[in-house]
This record gives sequence, C-alpha cells and structure tokens, in this order.
Amino acid sequence: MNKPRLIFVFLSIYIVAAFSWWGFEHFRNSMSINMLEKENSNLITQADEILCYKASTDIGEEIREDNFLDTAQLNRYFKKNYNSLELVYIDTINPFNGYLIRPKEEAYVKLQSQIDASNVKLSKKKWMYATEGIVMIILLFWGILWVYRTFEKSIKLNQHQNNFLLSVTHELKTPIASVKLYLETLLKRDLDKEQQHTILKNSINDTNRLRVLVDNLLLSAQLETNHYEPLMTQINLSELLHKIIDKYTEPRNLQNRIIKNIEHQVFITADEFAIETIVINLLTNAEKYSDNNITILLKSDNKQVILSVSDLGIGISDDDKQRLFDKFYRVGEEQTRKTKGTGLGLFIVKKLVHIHHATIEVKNNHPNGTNFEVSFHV
Amino acid sequence: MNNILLVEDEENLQHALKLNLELENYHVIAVGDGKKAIDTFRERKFDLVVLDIMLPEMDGYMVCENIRLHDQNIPILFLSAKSTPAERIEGLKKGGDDYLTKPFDLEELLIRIKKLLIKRDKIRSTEKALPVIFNFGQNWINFDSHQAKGVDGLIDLTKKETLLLKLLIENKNSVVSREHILKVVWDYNVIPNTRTVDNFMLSLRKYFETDPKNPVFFHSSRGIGYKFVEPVAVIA
Repeated sequence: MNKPRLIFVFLSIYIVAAFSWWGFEHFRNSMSINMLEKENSNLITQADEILCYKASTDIGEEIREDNFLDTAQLNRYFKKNYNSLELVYIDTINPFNGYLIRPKEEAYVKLQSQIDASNVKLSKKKWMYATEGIVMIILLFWGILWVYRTFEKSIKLNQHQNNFLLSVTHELKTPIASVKLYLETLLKRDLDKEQQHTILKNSINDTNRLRVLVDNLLLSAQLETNHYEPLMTQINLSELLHKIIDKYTEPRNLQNRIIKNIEHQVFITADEFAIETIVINLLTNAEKYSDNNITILLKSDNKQVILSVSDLGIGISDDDKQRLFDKFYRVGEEQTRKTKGTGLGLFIVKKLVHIHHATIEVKNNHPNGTNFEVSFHV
Repeated sequence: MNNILLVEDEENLQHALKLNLELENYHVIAVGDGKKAIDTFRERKFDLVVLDIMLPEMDGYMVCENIRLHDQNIPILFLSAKSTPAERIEGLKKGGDDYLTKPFDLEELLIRIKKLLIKRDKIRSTEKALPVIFNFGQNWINFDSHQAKGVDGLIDLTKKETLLLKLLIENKNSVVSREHILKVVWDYNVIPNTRTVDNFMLSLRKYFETDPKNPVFFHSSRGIGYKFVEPVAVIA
C-alpha cells in the first residue's frame, strides 16, 4: 500500500475511534447528568419537606397539654417519631403556649451539604458536557478545513498538471516540428553551404533541447518513485563548481555575466551528477528570468557548506515562493508564456537536495531578483 | 507578390518557415509575440496570416479576434502544437480559416497557404472596396491622406476620426454599436468610456453637417450607437 493511502486508512481509523469514544462518553455523561438532576431534586424536596414542618400545624395539633403531661414526655415522643426535628420552648413558664418546631441543626446541615455536593457535581458534569461539545465542534471544523484544503490542493495539482500538459505538448512538439521542417527543407530545396550549415546547427540545438526535456522527465519520474540511486563520494565542490559553470557558460556565451565567489578546497560527500543537475537547473532559471549578472557563491564553515545562485531579475512573489518547488508549478499563465520550460526543474532540484539531507531556500536578492541557497550539513 | 504575416515565437521554427515561404516567392514579415503581431498588422497590408497560439504577451486566439475586428476576409491559418479537437474548434471559432497542428508537413502547409490565397483573390475581385476618396453631399473624405472637405472647408482628420468615418461608411445605413466602435477604433487594451465615442461624433457632425442639431448623415440610434446615412436623390 502506498504512503498516502496508509495515512488515509490510519486517519480514518483514528477519526472513527475518536468519534465512537466521544459519542459513548457523551451518552454516559448525559445519563449521569439526568441521574444527578433527579437525585438533586429529591434532596431538595426532602429539605423542603423538613422545612415544611416548621409551618405545618399537623404536629402542632399533637402538641397539646391534654396529650402530654410534661415537656419531658413530649421530648421523648418527638425523639421517637420525628428524629430529625427538635422542639424549642419559647414560653418557659407555660411551655405549651409558645414553642417552635424546627429541624435539628445537624440534619439540616447534613442535607444542605448533600445538596451542595450534588450541585457541584452537577455543574462539573455540565461543564464537561459543554467542553466536550466545544471540542467536538472544533474537531468538526478542523475536519471541514482539512477536507477543504485537500480539495484545494488537488484542484491546484490538477491545474498544474494541465499547465504541464500544455507546456510539455509545446516543448515536445516544437523542436520535433522544427527539425522535421528543416529536414524537409533540405530535401526539397537546393540551398547553399552556409544556409545548410545554419539549418543543421539549429537542428542539433533543437534535438539537444529535446534531449534535456526527456532527461528531465525521466529523472523526475525516477526521483518521485524513489528509484534514483545516488553515488555518494567525497568530492571537491570548488573544483566541480568551476567545471560545471564553464561547461554551462561557454556554449551560451555567458562568461561575462557570471560572477564567481567560490571558496577554495571545499569538500563534501555528494552525488556528482546530482550536484551538476542542481547547479545547472539553478543557472538555467537565473538566466531565464534575468538579463543581468548572475552570482554564484560557495562558502563553508565547520557546520555547513552554502552554495547559492542569485540573479538581479524580476524576482518572485511570496505566494509563488511557497509553490515554486511543487511539481509542474510555473509562475504565470501557460497560454501567454515568454519563457520555455515545463515546471520540472525546481522540483528535481528540491528532490536532489533532499537526497543529500540538505536544505534549499529561496530569498529575495538585494536590490532585486532572487537568491536560491542550498545548505549542506557537514 | 503576396505579403504574409508570420507569428511564431520559436526562433528556429520561425527561421525555417520564413525561409520556405520566401523560397515560394512570398514576402514574409515574421514577429515573435502577440502584441507585435497586432501592431504590425495595423501598420501594413497583408494577404495572409500564419498564426501560432501559445505566444508571449497575447495568445493567438486573441490576436485572431483582434485582426477580425479590422479585417473580416484576410485568411488566417493557425499553426499550433495544440492538437485536440476542442482546441482546433476554438481556433476556427475565433475566426481562423484553417488549422494545422505541429509537427506538420511542409508540402501540406504550402498547399494550404496557396489555396487560401487563391480563395482570397476570388473574394477580393467580387468585393466592392471603399474608394480612396468618398463623396457625400457637399463633402468628401480622403482615407489615405486623412483629409476631408466639410462645411467650413478643408479639415485635417486625426487617425481615429478617419478610422471612425471609415467604419461608419463601410456599414452604411446600418447601426454600429458604441462597443464595436470602441473595439475597432480605440486600442485593444485601452477601453475608454463610451462617452468618448459621443464626443467624437459631435465633432464629426460639426465638420460635415450644415445643421449639427438636425444631422443628415450621422444619425444616432438612442442607446445603441450610430449610423451613416447617404440621402438618396437630393441632387440640388
């Protein structure tokens, strides 16, 4: 099973588990809240009943001089029948004339504390209920957001893919068309030596362009399916860099546009082909989007080796910076494109940089333009 | 010798196409982007346009639409890497006469161009082209020298005034909408307010109408646009 599918299955299991747990807890909570509320109302009625005695004259009817000879007898009677109540005689001379029936202090206090405890429990439960609800809503929103983002991402990828199809169609067919046309011209026309030479030279350039495109397509496919196996060796990055730059600039006549700021004798463990591909891709990009000087910098300290390519071109917006390394991503509309390309270059660069456990950053160059910086950890 | 406007941004393809067309005795002007194509088209007279679709600045579909605003009949041949039926239909809908996908056969391209040009010549011979000097009432307009004779004598017309007059006279007796006037006379990317058209019409009436408040030639059609009417049999 591939990685995204695995993540999806895990996530689904997690979500189902979380929801079931939450549902169960919620149900239990609502049950216990019901129970507590019942208990609470019972307690309150009990307390009310006790207080009721105070006002009740039912007992008052029983307390009469003809029923009881003295207060001692009445007290005994009360203790026996109304354990939670007590009698207080207000009129000390003639006790049966003025008395008060009230709940015993401790019974009252006990009941009250029971009520309080149950109230606290209830409000705690209610809070729990409410927080669970809030957590649920947050989870729900998070889920919705997540789904939305995924959708947006896939729509964007689709768009990039469409762009890619457009540009690849263009990039593949154009050189084929031009080479074909050149060959047909040679066949049909009687041209002089010079014209023939131009035609052949241009045709070779076109086939080279085609070769680079095919190489890039194959390499990105290899990188994406993790089939690229780097050959890590100890290399002299300073020397290699000079070599790559010369190889790139000579046929293009770019020598005087390149500023080299390369530290001597910098060694790293890396895949030579990958380094060459990274540098050439960054150089191609810089050349494509700027007409001015391109600076290549290499410096090292005991922690890291920094390789950077900066140009003085049009620069890249922050929005584009975030998506620059996405597969097929290209700045601008495909239909009215000024520059050639397929949106694979920086994707390949990113993948190759990651193979070296290095990082790549894109920054604004001063005063303008763009700066790509690769940091290798030593 | 037929003039061909070749719009192709790929250098090598442009070179190869130009070479072959020139060897077929066409006069070729090649440009590399959409905007330049429109500018060049406005500056010169062409007999045919070979048009790529994916172009810098402005795509081929838009270029084609724009050319069609000025010239309904010039043959336009799309030459594009886009090859799906939907894309080809789009090209033909936008006003292309033919569509060839890259890579193409040289012979096929040459034959198609030849046929389009023959057809074009046939249409041209039946077409009643507007004379260089156009007379109406006591007035005349010279479309080439941008000069006119109006109520108050000779007038030097601006380029836009000439274009507007030409458009209205070409569509004699039918209403031309303000929007259409704007598209044709004003620049393709600068769209001024429709009031601008009204102001231009005011000055045209002043030039050519004896009583601008009761126009004989330049009538307005409320809420739509303007039309040019040539009064019949009022020969004094």
